[in-house]
Amino acid sequence: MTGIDWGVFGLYLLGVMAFALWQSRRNEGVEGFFLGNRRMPWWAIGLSVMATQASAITLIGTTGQGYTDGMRFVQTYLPLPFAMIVLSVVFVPFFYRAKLFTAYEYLEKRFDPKTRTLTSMLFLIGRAMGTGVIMYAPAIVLSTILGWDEVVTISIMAVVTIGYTVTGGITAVIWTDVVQMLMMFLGIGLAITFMIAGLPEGVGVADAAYIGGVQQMWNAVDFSWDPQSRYTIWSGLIGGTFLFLSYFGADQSQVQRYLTASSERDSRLSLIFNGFMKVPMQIAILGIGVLMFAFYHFEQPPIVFNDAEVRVVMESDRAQEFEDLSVVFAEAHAGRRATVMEILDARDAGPVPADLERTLAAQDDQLMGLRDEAKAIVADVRGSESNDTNYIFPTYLTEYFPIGLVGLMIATIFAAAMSSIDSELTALSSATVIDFYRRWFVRDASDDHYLWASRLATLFWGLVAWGFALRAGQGGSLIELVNEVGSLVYGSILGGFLLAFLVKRAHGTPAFLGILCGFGTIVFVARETDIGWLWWNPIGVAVVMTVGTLLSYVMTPPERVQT
Amino acid sequence: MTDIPEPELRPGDDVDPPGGPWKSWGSIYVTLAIWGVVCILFLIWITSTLNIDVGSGGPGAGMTP
Repeated sequence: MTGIDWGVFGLYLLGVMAFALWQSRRNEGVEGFFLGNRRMPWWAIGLSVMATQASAITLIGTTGQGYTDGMRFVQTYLPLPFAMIVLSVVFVPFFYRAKLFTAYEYLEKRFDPKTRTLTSMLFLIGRAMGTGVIMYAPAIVLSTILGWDEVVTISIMAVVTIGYTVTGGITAVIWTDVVQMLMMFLGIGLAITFMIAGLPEGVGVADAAYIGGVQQMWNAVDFSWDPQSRYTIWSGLIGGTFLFLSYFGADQSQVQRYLTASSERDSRLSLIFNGFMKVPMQIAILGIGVLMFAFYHFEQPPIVFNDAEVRVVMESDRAQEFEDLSVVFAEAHAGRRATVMEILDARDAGPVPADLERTLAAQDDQLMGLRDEAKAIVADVRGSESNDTNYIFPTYLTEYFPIGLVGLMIATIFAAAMSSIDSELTALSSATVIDFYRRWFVRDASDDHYLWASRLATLFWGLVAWGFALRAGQGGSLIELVNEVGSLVYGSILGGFLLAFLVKRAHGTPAFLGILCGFGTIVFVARETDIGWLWWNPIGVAVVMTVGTLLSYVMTPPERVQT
Repeated sequence: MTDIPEPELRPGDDVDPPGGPWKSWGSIYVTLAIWGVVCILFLIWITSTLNIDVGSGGPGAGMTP
């Protein structure tokens, strides 16, 4: 990064934060801190809903996912428009009309206090870990650029974000998200533009797309029924539907957002807006990953993308071995580049000869083998497995983006992370204060008292997330890790809400036991089977609905006990 | 299904859809559902058109540059 980049980066961050705090100046009391006094416009909430889900992980992790695995992750997002319809029709009226602070309050109104407490606790457990992962993502960018250890960058990120969140409140969060989301649209457009412009002379977009096709990276839809295959159209449509119903209907960080609307109409419109925009955005982001994959057929990538890891190896006694591997890797890449150019020439003349295809396959194998050897050295030196998926896009940005725009892109990633983290911290804080502190411990204190309790709770969860972030580095692709952590608890919480909405006969204790059974089942499935995480949510919902409904017929409702 | 609470409308609360071609909530939901189907069809088209079938012995998914 040059001085100009640092200037753009600093100005952008300061501007966004000042704007957010200025917008939050009219907040009053706890309702202002958690719900913006219920006066946010639908389009701002809609952008905020998108921005909260699209954190820095979306830019870093999803592009890395596209690079290593092609387009197939997009299948997870396909049911989102349909899920938004269900949420608008079923969830929003229940939540908005009940005038809630947290989604879990509804379960006390419908069932009993213990069901509310259990679901809120499950949310706190899942979301605290997820927030740690979200905090970890931008630290990767900074560690790559600055050459600092991740522990240092995570800690700086945590301190800045926690401080900002404690003073901000939901209004600041939403307006930050609006700016951030517009920046993200701009960033996606810039990334695609510069990637295409950076292709070698004589190589066009169609050629890059062709190379992606030869390598089977445009694998956007997979119709296979293998339950152990992580992403298929079926796991996407079924598992994804439950994932989005859970995330947008049972996760306080999203429910809190549409509770800030000035009317039920605006709540619905904010979700519908998200339904239209989200899938194209994900296609574009994964497309960046695939284009980057094709781009690195013409430009040589580093043998390992995590520069911090490479520096550690270069200071170890295996430095020479690593350097020799890098030389062989460069030669192999040059050979593969020549083959790719031959394939492009041959394609123009007619069918690609089979021997060229075989050569390309052999060169791919060789490059992959060399990368594996290099990563094994890194793992040996560092004492932990090397995973550089999340370093691919930041590395590309710093090496190929023009001066000034690097700073802008880094600012976009940084702000994306901050606005997601403070959303999560505000949600964690609201669940802690409203569902536990005010419900069970201090019931009749002043508004100022609860406001300060809310700020302290925000600080507490920020520290917890900070601790978890320090351990998130070895979790593979970040976007997957966040969804996996969430899916451990989402299914059973969603099952509780669906039981409340759809089964009129359901009552407290059966719902509570059903949710416990659902959570236990998901933990068992996650630990003891190879079933992909997208299936955990429907499994959890099915168990909660089945157990809760059956027990509701077997057990006597509390009213009957009293009579 | 559990009874949905009655809305507590305040003075000035707007309960209608945005208007124009979207005069009812139903028309909005149908449009969004059609949009979802269009997205799926687009991705099926991408998969079948842009992926090159190289046959046996050719490169496969997950290759790393």
